[in-house]
Amino acid sequence: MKIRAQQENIDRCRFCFMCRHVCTLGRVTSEEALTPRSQALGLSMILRDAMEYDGQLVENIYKCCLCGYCKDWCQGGWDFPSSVKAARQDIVAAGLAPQNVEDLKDEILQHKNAYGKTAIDPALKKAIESHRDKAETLVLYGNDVLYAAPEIGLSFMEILEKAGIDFMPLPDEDTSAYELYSLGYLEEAKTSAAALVAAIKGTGAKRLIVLSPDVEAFLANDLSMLDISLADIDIVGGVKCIHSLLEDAKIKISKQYQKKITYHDCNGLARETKAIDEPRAIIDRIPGGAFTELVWNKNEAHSTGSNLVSRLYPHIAKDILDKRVEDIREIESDVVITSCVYDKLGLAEIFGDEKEVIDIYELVAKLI
Amino acid sequence: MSESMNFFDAIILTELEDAVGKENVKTNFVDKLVHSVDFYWSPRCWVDRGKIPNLPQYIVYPTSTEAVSKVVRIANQHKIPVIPWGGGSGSQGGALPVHSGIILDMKKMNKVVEVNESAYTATAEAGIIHQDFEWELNKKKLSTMHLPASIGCATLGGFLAHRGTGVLSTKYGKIEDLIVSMEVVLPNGDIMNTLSVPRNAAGPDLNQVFVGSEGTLGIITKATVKVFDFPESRQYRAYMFKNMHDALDAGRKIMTKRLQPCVIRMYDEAETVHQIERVMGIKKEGAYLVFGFDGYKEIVDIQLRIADEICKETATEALGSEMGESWWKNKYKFFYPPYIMDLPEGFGTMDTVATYDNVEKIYWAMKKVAESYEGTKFIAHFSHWYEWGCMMYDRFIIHPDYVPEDPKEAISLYNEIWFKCIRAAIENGGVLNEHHGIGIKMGYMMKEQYGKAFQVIEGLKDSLDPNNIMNPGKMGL
Repeated sequence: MKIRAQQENIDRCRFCFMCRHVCTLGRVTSEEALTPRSQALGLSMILRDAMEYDGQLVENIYKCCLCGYCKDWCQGGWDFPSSVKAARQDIVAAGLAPQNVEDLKDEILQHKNAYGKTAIDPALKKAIESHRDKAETLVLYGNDVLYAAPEIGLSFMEILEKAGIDFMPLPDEDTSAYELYSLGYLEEAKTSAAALVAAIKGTGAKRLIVLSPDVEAFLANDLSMLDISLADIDIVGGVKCIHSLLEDAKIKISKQYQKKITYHDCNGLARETKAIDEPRAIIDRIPGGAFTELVWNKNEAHSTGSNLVSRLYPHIAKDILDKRVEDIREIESDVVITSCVYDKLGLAEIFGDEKEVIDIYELVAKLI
Repeated sequence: MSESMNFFDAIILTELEDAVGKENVKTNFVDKLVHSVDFYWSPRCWVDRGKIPNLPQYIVYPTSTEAVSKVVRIANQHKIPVIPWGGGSGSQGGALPVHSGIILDMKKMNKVVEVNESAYTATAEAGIIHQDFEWELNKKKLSTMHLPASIGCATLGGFLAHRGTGVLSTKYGKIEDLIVSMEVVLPNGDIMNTLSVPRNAAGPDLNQVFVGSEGTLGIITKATVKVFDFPESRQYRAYMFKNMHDALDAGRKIMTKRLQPCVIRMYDEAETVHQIERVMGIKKEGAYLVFGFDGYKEIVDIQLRIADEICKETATEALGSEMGESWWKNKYKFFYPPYIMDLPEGFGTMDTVATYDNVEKIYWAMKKVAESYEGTKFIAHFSHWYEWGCMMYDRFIIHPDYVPEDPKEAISLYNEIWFKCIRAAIENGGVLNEHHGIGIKMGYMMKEQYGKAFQVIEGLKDSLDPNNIMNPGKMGL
């Protein structure tokens, strides 16, 4: 059992209530069983052969959106999301994955994304293909950008072009290893990750820019769990890349943007890769922009959930998004800046015409 | 629907679902399990050994006071126990479904109803996690000043139900001092409100009937509490003393001189080593004392100066404000594993409170008893102080090698140490508990402590809850 290796983590979390109020799922549902300590209690009983993975526990394990808030909040240094991932691997290995999880996995394997899309946007595809020449910098767009938010990919490319950066895409890019791993499909994730890493290495790139914070975190933290290594290449997140370009004066934000703006920190940047200052430094350069922090911000930003949870349990995902929208409505703003695809799409759908939701790459591309 | 349910259970289930909505009633095993273990060591030991604890039949999440009333009426009709559950972070087993029944998980009743900036009061539903309540108030630069370590898990109703306290209680009071008024659902389903103000001459204080009643007399559904402005200044100091006696005496003088610190905490020699070193990295011998004052800066400066003078009479080392601030910053870190005691250790928190002339006697009496057991050590800190005495937050810790593997034997040893220690406390002028409540753990000793006075509590119980549906088996009732 994969959770055996997590026993100390699980046993430390099973009786501890100290992160319950920050758990995204627990906070939004107010249900005792949907908190880290309750999940851990269940897993600890499995470790002691006192119970098995029953339907409800399995469902609860898949409701976790892996936002990392509990881990980041914990002053004892415990990492419950790792235990959730391990539990999912056990669940899959035992053939106990719920049908909706199996269906999602099949969709990801078939279409390389979890957004229900079947093809890369033609405009983005064309733009990507225009950069087929070999370069030292490789851009990894991420399946979410390729399939669900092409405007973000196009914006990022525009920024690099204006900065005079030669870059190349990865042919037939497929970052679904991240989603497969998150769902507990270890073998499939391994296969996909191995292919991805081989493809990256095959380009000879010296530098890898990763647009998706979740994929960046996966490469940094989870690849080693699959016994795969991506050494000898300098990996940088897209936001940090943009920040450096601005710092080095390779691009300049010059257009006025007379709006009241705020910024929602995404899970991946705020709690995994810790890119908290860089988005703010970028926003700080916007002429005319009146920035107000959200009350819950930085590594304490309430999560919007995750795309995987939105596909598996849409009603819970909606409740999580609604809660974050409430937070955003507490402060006066015209524009919400986001830094990951799910945040942008999820918030934009709820805000509609009330407020503009724009990705940070889009905004920078617009203003340079 | 659970396969082990019989047809009558199924009928009751339909009534509960009708009362609160189907989505708010759970009967699956996982929900039952997580509502069967709290912070009490015994059920934790039980599950640690792979045993299933006493489970409830149903878990109900009411979303309104009316829903609570409906559930209680159903329970009364069918004589099913009802156990209110807030955060489940109690250490005395007060919310455990020891006689099965309905767990009434209050956490969906979590709204802030009103903040009255004129009267400096705030009203919230009882299921609100207290930290969420605090954060809402903080947006208006207000605070309940009720800041215990369980703030992130416990609910407002839970604190009221067991007379909780927070780290600033020395100045701002325990929860029973903060309550203004409350709404309660009685065991017959009637919804009542206590008077709108806590000070009056209109008979016994009904707030104080329900505060500390641990769900045995009714269910608190809403409460109005005092709130305070953020202080202009809050400053800390820390000192080392040769021993607990000197540190205790310094604390006593600070209190009896009516300096009104917002916090005092003193750690005995053992806990200074066990906790202060582990959590804060301060490696010192002796007893560690930290205190703070808050309010107008001019007043705080004066209070600090006098408190410093008191401490310097006998302290071995002045650690300054930095160590005090570090303690404040890390005040909750003590409660995260691995800093908090955890299985496989056996451990019990036996807090008691007594007048200053008795506290030390109680300390040594309890220490002697606890450490007479092989592999057991006794540590204590003194965390809630009054003009007449202070609370001793003492614990016994049994080394894992001496905790029996068999959970029945483990609980037997645990309770033996407990009863003997608490009796030692009572014999020397202490009481059963200061702020963790009674629950199951101390219920056995309530009659022993109260003697003939216990009939007053029993009378209330018999009158309000003749069917004994409200949290049976708790508080010795």
